[in-house]
Amino acid sequence: MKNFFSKTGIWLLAAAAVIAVALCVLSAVSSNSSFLHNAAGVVTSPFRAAGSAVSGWVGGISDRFEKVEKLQEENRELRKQLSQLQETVRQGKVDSEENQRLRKLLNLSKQRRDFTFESANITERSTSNWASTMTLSKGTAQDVAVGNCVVSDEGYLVGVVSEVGLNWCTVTTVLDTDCQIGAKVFRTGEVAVAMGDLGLMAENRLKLSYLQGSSSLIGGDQVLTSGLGGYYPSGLVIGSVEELKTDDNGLTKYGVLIPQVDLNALKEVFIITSFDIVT
Amino acid sequence: MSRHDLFYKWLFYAAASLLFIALQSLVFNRILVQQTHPFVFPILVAAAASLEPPREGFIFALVLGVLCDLTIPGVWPCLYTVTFALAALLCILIAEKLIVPGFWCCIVCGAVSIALCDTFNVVILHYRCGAAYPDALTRAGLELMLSILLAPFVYLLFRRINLRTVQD
Repeated sequence: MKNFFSKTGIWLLAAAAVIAVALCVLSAVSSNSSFLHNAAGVVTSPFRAAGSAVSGWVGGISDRFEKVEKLQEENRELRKQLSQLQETVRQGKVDSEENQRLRKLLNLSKQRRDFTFESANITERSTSNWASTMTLSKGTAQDVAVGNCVVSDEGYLVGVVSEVGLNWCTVTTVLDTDCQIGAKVFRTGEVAVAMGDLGLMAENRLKLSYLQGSSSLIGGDQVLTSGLGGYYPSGLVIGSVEELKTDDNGLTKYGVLIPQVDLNALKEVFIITSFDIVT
Repeated sequence: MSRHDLFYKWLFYAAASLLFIALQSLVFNRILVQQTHPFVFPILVAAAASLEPPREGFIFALVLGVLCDLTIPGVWPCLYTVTFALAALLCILIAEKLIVPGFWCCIVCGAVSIALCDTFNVVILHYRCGAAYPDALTRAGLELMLSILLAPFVYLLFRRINLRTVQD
Protein backbone atom coordinates (compact mmCIF):
# COMPACT_ATOMS: atom_id res chain seq x y z
CA MET A 1 0.00 0.00 0.00
CA LYS A 2 2.81 2.34 0.94
CA ASN A 3 4.53 1.47 -2.32
CA PHE A 4 1.37 2.01 -4.25
CA PHE A 5 0.96 5.51 -2.83
CA SER A 6 4.58 6.50 -3.23
CA LYS A 7 4.63 5.47 -6.89
CA THR A 8 1.53 6.11 -8.97
CA GLY A 9 -1.28 5.83 -6.44
CA ILE A 10 -1.34 9.49 -5.53
CA TRP A 11 -1.70 10.46 -9.21
CA LEU A 12 -4.49 7.96 -9.67
CA LEU A 13 -6.28 9.33 -6.62
CA ALA A 14 -5.91 12.83 -8.00
CA ALA A 15 -7.32 11.62 -11.34
CA ALA A 16 -10.30 10.09 -9.52
CA ALA A 17 -10.94 13.35 -7.70
CA VAL A 18 -10.74 15.39 -10.92
CA ILE A 19 -13.12 13.01 -12.73
CA ALA A 20 -15.56 13.10 -9.82
CA VAL A 21 -15.58 16.90 -9.75
CA ALA A 22 -15.96 17.02 -13.54
CA LEU A 23 -18.97 14.70 -13.39
CA CYS A 24 -20.59 16.85 -10.70
CA VAL A 25 -19.95 20.07 -12.66
CA LEU A 26 -21.24 18.57 -15.93
CA SER A 27 -24.37 17.38 -14.17
CA ALA A 28 -24.94 20.76 -12.52
CA VAL A 29 -24.46 23.00 -15.57
CA SER A 30 -26.51 21.11 -18.16
CA SER A 31 -30.30 21.38 -18.19
CA ASN A 32 -30.92 18.09 -20.04
CA SER A 33 -28.04 15.64 -19.86
CA SER A 34 -24.36 16.41 -20.21
CA PHE A 35 -22.52 15.53 -23.44
CA LEU A 36 -20.88 12.50 -21.81
CA HIS A 37 -24.15 11.21 -20.32
CA ASN A 38 -25.86 11.73 -23.66
CA ALA A 39 -23.11 9.92 -25.58
CA ALA A 40 -23.09 7.02 -23.07
CA GLY A 41 -26.88 6.79 -23.36
CA VAL A 42 -26.81 6.81 -27.18
CA VAL A 43 -24.04 4.17 -27.32
CA THR A 44 -25.75 1.84 -24.82
CA SER A 45 -29.21 2.39 -26.29
CA PRO A 46 -29.09 -0.49 -28.85
CA PHE A 47 -27.81 -2.90 -26.19
CA ARG A 48 -30.58 -1.84 -23.81
CA ALA A 49 -33.16 -2.34 -26.56
CA ALA A 50 -31.71 -5.77 -27.38
CA GLY A 51 -31.71 -6.75 -23.70
CA SER A 52 -35.27 -5.59 -23.29
CA ALA A 53 -36.31 -7.59 -26.39
CA VAL A 54 -34.65 -10.74 -25.02
CA SER A 55 -36.24 -10.39 -21.58
CA GLY A 56 -39.60 -9.60 -23.21
CA TRP A 57 -39.32 -12.79 -25.26
CA VAL A 58 -38.47 -14.87 -22.17
CA GLY A 59 -41.29 -13.18 -20.25
CA GLY A 60 -43.69 -13.96 -23.11
CA ILE A 61 -42.83 -17.66 -22.90
CA SER A 62 -43.48 -17.78 -19.16
CA ASP A 63 -46.75 -15.86 -19.64
CA ARG A 64 -48.05 -18.69 -21.85
CA PHE A 65 -47.88 -21.01 -18.88
CA GLU A 66 -50.43 -18.91 -16.95
CA LYS A 67 -53.23 -21.06 -15.65
CA VAL A 68 -56.34 -21.09 -17.79
CA GLU A 69 -58.62 -21.15 -14.72
CA LYS A 70 -57.07 -17.93 -13.47
CA LEU A 71 -57.70 -16.22 -16.80
CA GLN A 72 -61.28 -17.50 -16.93
CA GLU A 73 -61.93 -16.17 -13.43
CA GLU A 74 -60.47 -12.81 -14.44
CA ASN A 75 -62.63 -12.81 -17.56
CA ARG A 76 -65.80 -13.35 -15.48
CA GLU A 77 -64.78 -10.52 -13.16
CA LEU A 78 -64.09 -8.21 -16.09
CA ARG A 79 -67.48 -8.98 -17.68
CA LYS A 80 -69.15 -8.01 -14.42
CA GLN A 81 -67.13 -4.77 -14.31
CA LEU A 82 -67.97 -4.07 -17.96
CA SER A 83 -71.72 -4.22 -17.34
CA GLN A 84 -71.31 -1.86 -14.36
CA LEU A 85 -69.23 0.53 -16.46
CA GLN A 86 -71.77 0.47 -19.31
CA GLU A 87 -74.40 1.61 -16.82
CA THR A 88 -72.06 4.39 -15.64
CA VAL A 89 -71.42 5.48 -19.26
CA ARG A 90 -75.18 5.70 -19.93
CA GLN A 91 -75.60 7.91 -16.87
CA GLY A 92 -72.49 9.87 -17.90
CA LYS A 93 -73.98 10.66 -21.32
CA VAL A 94 -77.10 12.12 -19.73
CA ASP A 95 -74.95 14.14 -17.29
CA SER A 96 -72.70 15.33 -20.11
CA GLU A 97 -75.66 16.62 -22.14
CA GLU A 98 -76.99 18.40 -19.09
CA ASN A 99 -73.52 19.84 -18.44
CA GLN A 100 -73.32 21.15 -22.00
CA ARG A 101 -76.74 22.83 -21.71
CA LEU A 102 -75.81 24.46 -18.41
CA ARG A 103 -72.42 25.63 -19.75
CA LYS A 104 -74.20 27.22 -22.70
CA LEU A 105 -76.64 28.93 -20.36
CA LEU A 106 -73.82 30.30 -18.19
CA ASN A 107 -71.68 31.13 -21.24
CA LEU A 108 -68.70 29.04 -20.03
CA SER A 109 -66.01 27.82 -22.43
CA LYS A 110 -66.08 24.13 -23.29
CA GLN A 111 -64.00 21.79 -21.13
CA ARG A 112 -61.20 20.05 -22.97
CA ARG A 113 -58.09 18.04 -22.28
CA ASP A 114 -55.61 17.95 -25.15
CA PHE A 115 -52.54 15.80 -24.68
CA THR A 116 -49.74 15.09 -27.15
CA PHE A 117 -48.47 11.59 -26.51
CA GLU A 118 -45.25 9.90 -27.57
CA SER A 119 -45.20 6.14 -27.10
CA ALA A 120 -41.99 4.59 -25.79
CA ASN A 121 -40.66 1.19 -24.81
CA ILE A 122 -39.02 0.54 -21.46
CA THR A 123 -35.48 -0.51 -22.32
CA GLU A 124 -34.12 -0.79 -18.78
CA ARG A 125 -35.27 -0.66 -15.17
CA SER A 126 -33.36 0.69 -12.16
CA THR A 127 -30.01 -0.98 -11.71
CA SER A 128 -29.52 0.81 -8.41
CA ASN A 129 -31.55 -0.26 -5.39
CA TRP A 130 -31.67 3.34 -4.19
CA ALA A 131 -33.70 4.84 -6.99
CA SER A 132 -36.80 3.77 -8.86
CA THR A 133 -36.18 4.71 -12.48
CA MET A 134 -36.80 3.45 -15.99
CA THR A 135 -34.96 4.15 -19.22
CA LEU A 136 -37.20 4.74 -22.23
CA SER A 137 -36.50 4.52 -25.96
CA LYS A 138 -37.41 8.14 -26.83
CA GLY A 139 -35.49 11.38 -26.32
CA THR A 140 -35.01 14.96 -27.49
CA ALA A 141 -35.30 13.79 -31.11
CA GLN A 142 -38.97 13.12 -30.37
CA ASP A 143 -39.50 16.39 -28.40
CA VAL A 144 -39.26 14.70 -25.01
CA ALA A 145 -38.15 17.11 -22.28
CA VAL A 146 -37.30 17.00 -18.60
CA GLY A 147 -40.50 17.32 -16.53
CA ASN A 148 -42.77 15.52 -19.03
CA CYS A 149 -45.26 13.18 -17.34
CA VAL A 150 -45.24 9.51 -18.30
CA VAL A 151 -48.44 7.47 -18.19
CA SER A 152 -49.45 3.86 -18.79
CA ASP A 153 -51.76 2.84 -21.65
CA GLU A 154 -54.72 3.28 -19.26
CA GLY A 155 -53.59 6.85 -18.51
CA TYR A 156 -52.29 6.16 -15.00
CA LEU A 157 -49.25 8.16 -13.90
CA VAL A 158 -45.98 6.21 -14.04
CA GLY A 159 -43.50 9.02 -13.31
CA VAL A 160 -41.77 12.11 -14.60
CA VAL A 161 -38.89 12.43 -17.09
CA SER A 162 -35.80 13.41 -15.09
CA GLU A 163 -33.04 13.18 -17.69
CA VAL A 164 -33.16 13.18 -21.46
CA GLY A 165 -30.70 12.40 -24.24
CA LEU A 166 -30.94 12.19 -28.01
CA ASN A 167 -32.80 8.85 -28.26
CA TRP A 168 -33.32 7.92 -24.62
CA CYS A 169 -34.73 9.37 -21.44
CA THR A 170 -34.80 8.43 -17.79
CA VAL A 171 -38.09 8.42 -15.91
CA THR A 172 -38.18 8.85 -12.16
CA THR A 173 -41.18 6.77 -11.12
CA VAL A 174 -43.76 7.87 -8.56
CA LEU A 175 -42.07 5.55 -6.02
CA ASP A 176 -38.69 7.29 -6.16
CA THR A 177 -37.61 9.46 -3.22
CA ASP A 178 -36.89 12.32 -5.67
CA CYS A 179 -40.46 12.36 -6.98
CA GLN A 180 -42.82 14.97 -5.52
CA ILE A 181 -46.09 15.73 -7.29
CA GLY A 182 -48.97 18.01 -6.33
CA ALA A 183 -51.96 15.76 -5.66
CA LYS A 184 -55.68 16.06 -5.08
CA VAL A 185 -58.05 13.57 -3.46
CA PHE A 186 -60.84 12.99 -5.98
CA ARG A 187 -63.64 12.49 -3.40
CA THR A 188 -62.86 15.35 -1.03
CA GLY A 189 -60.86 17.73 -3.22
CA GLU A 190 -58.19 17.87 -0.50
CA VAL A 191 -54.80 19.01 -1.82
CA ALA A 192 -51.58 17.28 -0.73
CA VAL A 193 -48.21 16.12 -2.09
CA ALA A 194 -47.58 12.58 -3.38
CA MET A 195 -43.95 11.63 -2.81
CA GLY A 196 -41.72 8.59 -2.80
CA ASP A 197 -40.44 7.21 0.49
CA LEU A 198 -37.54 4.78 0.87
CA GLY A 199 -39.37 2.62 3.43
CA LEU A 200 -42.55 2.44 1.37
CA MET A 201 -40.63 1.86 -1.88
CA ALA A 202 -39.85 -1.65 -0.60
CA GLU A 203 -43.60 -2.35 -0.50
CA ASN A 204 -44.33 -0.70 -3.87
CA ARG A 205 -46.14 2.14 -2.12
CA LEU A 206 -45.75 5.92 -1.90
CA LYS A 207 -46.64 8.62 0.57
CA LEU A 208 -49.35 11.31 0.51
CA SER A 209 -47.92 14.08 2.70
CA TYR A 210 -48.95 17.52 3.97
CA LEU A 211 -52.50 16.41 4.76
CA GLN A 212 -54.71 18.69 6.76
CA GLY A 213 -55.14 17.81 10.44
CA SER A 214 -58.84 17.24 9.88
CA SER A 215 -58.26 14.98 6.89
CA SER A 216 -61.16 12.62 6.23
CA LEU A 217 -59.40 10.24 3.86
CA ILE A 218 -60.62 6.67 3.72
CA GLY A 219 -59.13 3.55 2.18
CA GLY A 220 -59.79 3.38 -1.56
CA ASP A 221 -59.95 7.15 -2.11
CA GLN A 222 -58.51 7.90 -5.53
CA VAL A 223 -55.66 10.43 -5.72
CA LEU A 224 -55.03 12.45 -8.90
CA THR A 225 -52.47 15.04 -9.95
CA SER A 226 -53.66 18.49 -8.88
CA GLY A 227 -52.15 20.37 -11.83
CA LEU A 228 -51.60 23.37 -9.54
CA GLY A 229 -48.93 25.63 -10.97
CA GLY A 230 -49.48 24.26 -14.46
CA TYR A 231 -46.26 22.26 -14.39
CA TYR A 232 -47.93 18.85 -14.62
CA PRO A 233 -51.36 18.12 -16.18
CA SER A 234 -54.24 17.75 -13.75
CA GLY A 235 -56.43 14.67 -13.37
CA LEU A 236 -53.85 11.93 -13.96
CA VAL A 237 -54.52 9.04 -11.60
CA ILE A 238 -51.60 8.49 -9.21
CA GLY A 239 -53.09 5.79 -7.00
CA SER A 240 -55.54 5.02 -4.25
CA VAL A 241 -55.30 5.43 -0.49
CA GLU A 242 -54.47 2.24 1.39
CA GLU A 243 -54.39 3.61 4.92
CA LEU A 244 -53.89 6.76 6.94
CA LYS A 245 -50.91 6.90 9.32
CA THR A 246 -49.56 9.36 11.86
CA ASP A 247 -46.09 10.84 11.31
CA ASP A 248 -43.25 10.13 13.76
CA ASN A 249 -43.84 13.54 15.39
CA GLY A 250 -47.37 12.40 16.33
CA LEU A 251 -48.93 15.64 15.08
CA THR A 252 -49.38 15.26 11.35
CA LYS A 253 -50.83 12.48 9.25
CA TYR A 254 -49.87 10.95 5.94
CA GLY A 255 -51.58 8.56 3.58
CA VAL A 256 -50.07 5.40 2.13
CA LEU A 257 -50.86 5.18 -1.58
CA ILE A 258 -50.96 2.12 -3.79
CA PRO A 259 -49.90 3.22 -7.30
CA GLN A 260 -52.64 2.53 -9.83
CA VAL A 261 -50.13 1.01 -12.20
CA ASP A 262 -47.99 -2.09 -11.64
CA LEU A 263 -44.56 -0.69 -12.47
CA ASN A 264 -42.91 -4.10 -12.70
CA ALA A 265 -45.37 -5.32 -15.34
CA LEU A 266 -45.08 -2.33 -17.68
CA LYS A 267 -43.50 -2.74 -21.11
CA GLU A 268 -44.73 0.28 -23.04
CA VAL A 269 -45.60 3.75 -21.75
CA PHE A 270 -46.71 7.12 -23.15
CA ILE A 271 -44.87 10.40 -22.59
CA ILE A 272 -47.05 13.52 -22.46
CA THR A 273 -44.87 15.92 -24.45
CA SER A 274 -47.39 18.80 -24.27
CA PHE A 275 -50.84 19.42 -22.82
CA ASP A 276 -53.61 21.98 -22.83
CA ILE A 277 -56.37 21.70 -20.25
CA VAL A 278 -59.40 23.99 -20.03
CA THR A 279 -61.70 23.36 -17.04
CA MET B 1 4.34 -9.15 -18.16
CA SER B 2 4.62 -7.81 -21.70
CA ARG B 3 2.33 -5.09 -23.01
CA HIS B 4 0.73 -7.67 -25.29
CA ASP B 5 -0.14 -9.97 -22.34
CA LEU B 6 -1.38 -7.04 -20.31
CA PHE B 7 -3.68 -6.02 -23.14
CA TYR B 8 -5.17 -9.50 -23.46
CA LYS B 9 -5.55 -9.88 -19.72
CA TRP B 10 -7.63 -6.72 -19.46
CA LEU B 11 -9.52 -7.58 -22.60
CA PHE B 12 -10.65 -10.78 -20.88
CA TYR B 13 -11.50 -8.86 -17.71
CA ALA B 14 -13.54 -6.39 -19.78
CA ALA B 15 -15.38 -9.27 -21.47
CA ALA B 16 -16.08 -10.91 -18.09
CA SER B 17 -17.31 -7.60 -16.70
CA LEU B 18 -19.58 -7.11 -19.73
CA LEU B 19 -21.02 -10.56 -19.11
CA PHE B 20 -21.88 -9.60 -15.53
CA ILE B 21 -23.26 -6.21 -16.65
CA ALA B 22 -25.55 -8.02 -19.11
CA LEU B 23 -26.60 -10.46 -16.38
CA GLN B 24 -27.28 -7.53 -14.05
CA SER B 25 -29.58 -5.95 -16.60
CA LEU B 26 -31.33 -9.11 -17.76
CA VAL B 27 -31.41 -11.33 -14.70
CA PHE B 28 -30.27 -9.77 -11.42
CA ASN B 29 -32.52 -6.70 -11.77
CA ARG B 30 -35.51 -9.06 -11.80
CA ILE B 31 -34.58 -11.04 -8.68
CA LEU B 32 -36.52 -8.87 -6.26
CA VAL B 33 -36.68 -9.41 -2.52
CA GLN B 34 -38.70 -6.57 -0.98
CA GLN B 35 -38.02 -4.55 -4.14
CA THR B 36 -34.26 -5.02 -3.64
CA HIS B 37 -32.06 -6.89 -6.10
CA PRO B 38 -28.40 -7.98 -6.13
CA PHE B 39 -25.89 -5.38 -7.32
CA VAL B 40 -22.82 -6.92 -8.91
CA PHE B 41 -20.65 -3.88 -9.73
CA PRO B 42 -18.94 -3.46 -6.31
CA ILE B 43 -18.08 -7.18 -6.38
CA LEU B 44 -16.33 -6.73 -9.74
CA VAL B 45 -14.29 -3.89 -8.23
CA ALA B 46 -13.41 -5.99 -5.19
CA ALA B 47 -12.41 -9.05 -7.22
CA ALA B 48 -10.14 -7.09 -9.57
CA ALA B 49 -8.57 -5.06 -6.75
CA SER B 50 -7.84 -8.12 -4.61
CA LEU B 51 -6.45 -10.30 -7.42
CA GLU B 52 -4.53 -7.81 -9.55
CA PRO B 53 -1.62 -5.42 -8.82
CA PRO B 54 -2.79 -2.28 -6.95
CA ARG B 55 -2.39 0.17 -9.82
CA GLU B 56 -4.29 -1.96 -12.32
CA GLY B 57 -7.03 -2.80 -9.82
CA PHE B 58 -7.49 0.86 -8.98
CA ILE B 59 -7.70 1.93 -12.65
CA PHE B 60 -10.27 -0.82 -13.30
CA ALA B 61 -12.37 0.50 -10.38
CA LEU B 62 -12.08 4.06 -11.63
CA VAL B 63 -13.12 3.18 -15.19
CA LEU B 64 -16.05 1.05 -13.97
CA GLY B 65 -17.11 3.86 -11.62
CA VAL B 66 -17.14 6.45 -14.41
CA LEU B 67 -19.09 4.11 -16.71
CA CYS B 68 -21.64 3.44 -13.95
CA ASP B 69 -22.04 7.15 -13.25
CA LEU B 70 -22.64 7.81 -16.96
CA THR B 71 -25.20 5.04 -17.43
CA ILE B 72 -26.92 4.40 -14.08
CA PRO B 73 -29.10 7.13 -12.54
CA GLY B 74 -27.78 7.50 -9.02
CA VAL B 75 -28.37 9.68 -5.98
CA TRP B 76 -25.20 11.71 -6.68
CA PRO B 77 -23.54 12.47 -10.08
CA CYS B 78 -20.13 11.00 -9.13
CA LEU B 79 -21.27 8.42 -6.59
CA TYR B 80 -19.77 5.34 -8.25
CA THR B 81 -16.52 7.06 -9.28
CA VAL B 82 -15.86 8.01 -5.67
CA THR B 83 -17.14 4.87 -3.96
CA PHE B 84 -15.50 2.40 -6.34
CA ALA B 85 -12.16 4.23 -6.09
CA LEU B 86 -12.35 4.17 -2.27
CA ALA B 87 -13.53 0.55 -2.31
CA ALA B 88 -10.56 -0.40 -4.50
CA LEU B 89 -8.17 1.26 -2.05
CA LEU B 90 -9.71 -0.64 0.87
CA CYS B 91 -9.58 -3.92 -1.04
CA ILE B 92 -5.91 -3.34 -1.94
CA LEU B 93 -5.22 -2.69 1.74
CA ILE B 94 -7.08 -5.84 2.85
CA ALA B 95 -5.35 -8.00 0.22
CA GLU B 96 -1.90 -6.67 1.14
CA LYS B 97 -2.14 -6.43 4.93
CA LEU B 98 -5.01 -8.52 6.31
CA ILE B 99 -6.06 -11.55 4.26
CA VAL B 100 -4.08 -13.56 1.74
CA PRO B 101 -5.53 -12.91 -1.74
CA GLY B 102 -7.92 -15.70 -2.59
CA PHE B 103 -11.53 -16.75 -2.19
CA TRP B 104 -12.12 -15.43 1.34
CA CYS B 105 -10.26 -12.24 0.61
CA CYS B 106 -12.53 -11.66 -2.38
CA ILE B 107 -15.65 -12.32 -0.28
CA VAL B 108 -14.51 -9.92 2.47
CA CYS B 109 -13.49 -7.27 -0.09
CA GLY B 110 -16.84 -7.68 -1.86
CA ALA B 111 -18.72 -7.16 1.40
CA VAL B 112 -16.60 -4.09 2.24
CA SER B 113 -17.12 -2.70 -1.24
CA ILE B 114 -20.93 -3.08 -1.12
CA ALA B 115 -21.05 -1.74 2.43
CA LEU B 116 -19.12 1.36 1.33
CA CYS B 117 -21.49 2.02 -1.60
CA ASP B 118 -24.49 1.54 0.67
CA THR B 119 -23.06 3.86 3.34
CA PHE B 120 -22.77 6.64 0.76
CA ASN B 121 -26.29 5.99 -0.50
CA VAL B 122 -27.79 5.93 3.00
CA VAL B 123 -26.08 9.14 4.11
CA ILE B 124 -26.86 11.05 0.88
CA LEU B 125 -30.52 9.96 0.88
CA HIS B 126 -30.88 10.82 4.56
CA TYR B 127 -29.61 14.35 4.11
CA ARG B 128 -31.25 14.97 0.73
CA CYS B 129 -34.70 13.40 1.14
CA GLY B 130 -34.87 12.74 4.88
CA ALA B 131 -34.88 8.97 4.36
CA ALA B 132 -35.21 7.23 7.73
CA TYR B 133 -32.06 5.36 8.82
CA PRO B 134 -33.87 2.11 9.78
CA ASP B 135 -35.50 1.85 6.33
CA ALA B 136 -32.27 2.70 4.55
CA LEU B 137 -30.21 0.30 6.65
CA THR B 138 -32.71 -2.51 6.07
CA ARG B 139 -32.38 -1.97 2.32
CA ALA B 140 -28.58 -1.80 2.61
CA GLY B 141 -28.47 -5.06 4.60
CA LEU B 142 -30.70 -6.79 2.09
CA GLU B 143 -28.60 -5.57 -0.83
CA LEU B 144 -25.44 -6.77 0.90
CA MET B 145 -26.88 -10.23 1.56
CA LEU B 146 -28.19 -10.66 -1.98
CA SER B 147 -25.10 -9.26 -3.71
CA ILE B 148 -22.54 -11.23 -1.72
CA LEU B 149 -24.07 -14.43 -3.12
CA LEU B 150 -22.65 -13.39 -6.50
CA ALA B 151 -19.10 -12.98 -5.15
CA PRO B 152 -18.06 -16.65 -5.60
CA PHE B 153 -19.10 -16.60 -9.27
CA VAL B 154 -17.24 -13.35 -9.94
CA TYR B 155 -14.21 -14.67 -8.05
CA LEU B 156 -14.15 -17.94 -10.00
CA LEU B 157 -14.27 -16.20 -13.37
CA PHE B 158 -11.76 -13.46 -12.46
CA ARG B 159 -9.45 -15.98 -10.81
CA ARG B 160 -9.50 -18.09 -13.95
CA ILE B 161 -8.54 -15.09 -16.08
CA ASN B 162 -5.84 -14.15 -13.56
CA LEU B 163 -4.34 -17.68 -13.50
CA ARG B 164 -4.52 -18.11 -17.26
CA THR B 165 -2.76 -14.82 -17.98
CA VAL B 166 -0.12 -15.41 -15.27
CA GLN B 167 0.63 -18.91 -16.66
CA ASP B 168 0.82 -17.58 -20.22
